Amino acid sequence: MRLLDTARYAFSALRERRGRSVLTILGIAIGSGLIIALVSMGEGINTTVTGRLLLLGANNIIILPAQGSNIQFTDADVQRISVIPEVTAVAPFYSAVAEFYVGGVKVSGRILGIDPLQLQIIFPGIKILEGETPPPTSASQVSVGYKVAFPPAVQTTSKLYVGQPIVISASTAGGIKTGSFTVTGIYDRFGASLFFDADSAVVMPLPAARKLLGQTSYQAILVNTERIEAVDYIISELERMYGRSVNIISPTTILQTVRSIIASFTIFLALIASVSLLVAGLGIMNTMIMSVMERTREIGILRSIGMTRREVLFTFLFEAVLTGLVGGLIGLGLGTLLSIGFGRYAGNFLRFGPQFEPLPLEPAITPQLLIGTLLFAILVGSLSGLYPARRAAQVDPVRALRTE
Amino acid sequence: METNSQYAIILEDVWKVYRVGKTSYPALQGLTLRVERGEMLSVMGPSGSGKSTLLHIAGTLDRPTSGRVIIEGIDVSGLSDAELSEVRNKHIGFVFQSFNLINRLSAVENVALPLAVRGVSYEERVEAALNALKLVGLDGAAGKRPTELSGGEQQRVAIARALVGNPRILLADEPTGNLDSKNTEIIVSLLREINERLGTTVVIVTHNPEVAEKCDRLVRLRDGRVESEVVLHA
Ligand SMILES: Nc1ncnc2c1ncn2[C@@H]1O[C@H](COP(=O)(O)OP(=O)(O)OP(=O)(O)O)[C@@H](O)[C@H]1O
Ligand SMILES: [Mg+2]
Repeated sequence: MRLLDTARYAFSALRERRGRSVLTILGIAIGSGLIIALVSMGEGINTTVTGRLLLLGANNIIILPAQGSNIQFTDADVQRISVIPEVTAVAPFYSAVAEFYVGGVKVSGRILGIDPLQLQIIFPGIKILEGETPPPTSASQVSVGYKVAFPPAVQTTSKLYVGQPIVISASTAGGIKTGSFTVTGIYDRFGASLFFDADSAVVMPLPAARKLLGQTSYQAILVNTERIEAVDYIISELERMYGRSVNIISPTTILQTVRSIIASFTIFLALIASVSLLVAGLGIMNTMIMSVMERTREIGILRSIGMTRREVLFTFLFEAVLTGLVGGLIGLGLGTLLSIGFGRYAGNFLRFGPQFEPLPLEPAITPQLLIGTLLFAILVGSLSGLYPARRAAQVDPVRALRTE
Repeated sequence: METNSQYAIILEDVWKVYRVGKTSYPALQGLTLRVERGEMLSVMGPSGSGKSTLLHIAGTLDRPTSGRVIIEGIDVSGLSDAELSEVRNKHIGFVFQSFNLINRLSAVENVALPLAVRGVSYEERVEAALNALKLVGLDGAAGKRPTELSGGEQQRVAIARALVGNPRILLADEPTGNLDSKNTEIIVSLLREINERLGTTVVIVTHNPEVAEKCDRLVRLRDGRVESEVVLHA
């Protein structure tokens, strides 16, 4: 028997028991639709959260001298690190807890001594609200974070303005160092970040920081990569280069934990959905067993006109596969609709906290997911059909033809 | 293994013993029967005498417990399921008392089914099926479902299905058992016509003496053996 004819015959049998076939197909459709909806949602959440964490600087690595080590970071180190594969930017910096005095008002925060042109690495997308960033070579100018300019505890009248002097007292290992600088710019509100609070920082070009802190070597180096997957590799390279003389700080471990939690949760949901697909498979098996019993006589007829046992098996198996295929195809549509609907709705709940904007949630409906789910539905169909089909093949034709 | 024998069917010392638990039911007890090519034979006998069992074994649907079975010169004793199925598909057409059509398929689809099993293309087998329906005078009912046909018509569709693959042997188990005398007459004439025009060997199991009368020879079974035989038309 040709494959197309087997398919045709199986289809006619499914159509004859329309009501039952529709129900079993529906079971498969719901099972595979759930898999697609849940997995694509999980993937979507993962992508959104990862993207958010990347914005916060999760693709940054900080390397700083270890406690008690006398290593001194210089431009030679910056050069060495920047040639590591996957490293996209290297920014040496200084940082210290500091107090700022503006027109008699005291604000606490941090100074961040860095090439202002590289500030975007730490604070991607940060914008100047007023004025401009100081030139990288300046030793006397700074730009300030939003909360430094507009301290929440202070009246707006004491607002700091561009061109105003600012006195900075930074705490260092060698005691408190104080200096006076000119404010050239104010940054807009930035929000949370993993390493620094941009809003309460004063950003100073490297010469300015060196002058204030009295240091010649860099305090730390920020290493940036575009691919979050490369972070581990870069860390291992840095460890190979510097051994125990440095500390390496990387938020990717946090990110990886978050991602693996979301991934396990997605797998958990997928498993539940798979169970529903397997239950639908039991439904196929059940209807097929019934069908084989009801169609014993038909099997006898098929054998009498020369169908082999194997062909009987294939014919019945094909019905199950067809159920899985059609159910799976409907499931693809159903799952896609579900996850799009879900995505619109669930985005409102996905945020880091009440003060944050809801995250845009884009369910990840990948071709792999669709094809994989369809194959799974077909597999479930064929596995469920295997036992009934074998029973059909084993029907004794003589006995089948005797049954009235 | 194919020999140019003059016999379409040879059954030699065929036994068929059914075992249910510890009890044995011998359906055939050393039955020997030869059916010549082109012969039209009727088989009669009381209920339980083994007539259906004989047809099933001659039609390779069933295997004997012991004995030799040669169909169209092929010794089928050692054949596999696939090989037996091929013998059935190519050489044998079955007709049953209860028609045994598949109700969800139209008449022409039912008739074409043996050719579909054989792997014949759709166009080719539909054409052959329409020809077979024409032969039984039902080409007008090709698109009808069995449930839309009378008993006599259904049996004629079943005969068309048995014929569609040009088998050498037609085995009919009480083909008129469910029909009235008029339809019985039609079916028997049809079988006779097929036998004469196509040279098909026909074996009819029947309880109806009028059916047996139309055949060349009558074999009576009792207790799974040939009890007697009569040659009616030479
Ligand atoms: N599967 C089986 N198990 C046990 N006994 C069986 C089985 N099939 C048939 N028999 C027995 O074999 C014997 C012959 O049966 P068979 O059907 O060949 O008789 P028959 O001549 O066709 O009868 P009828 O005229 O009623 O159709 C009967 O006694 C029957 O009970
Ligand atoms: Mg019988």
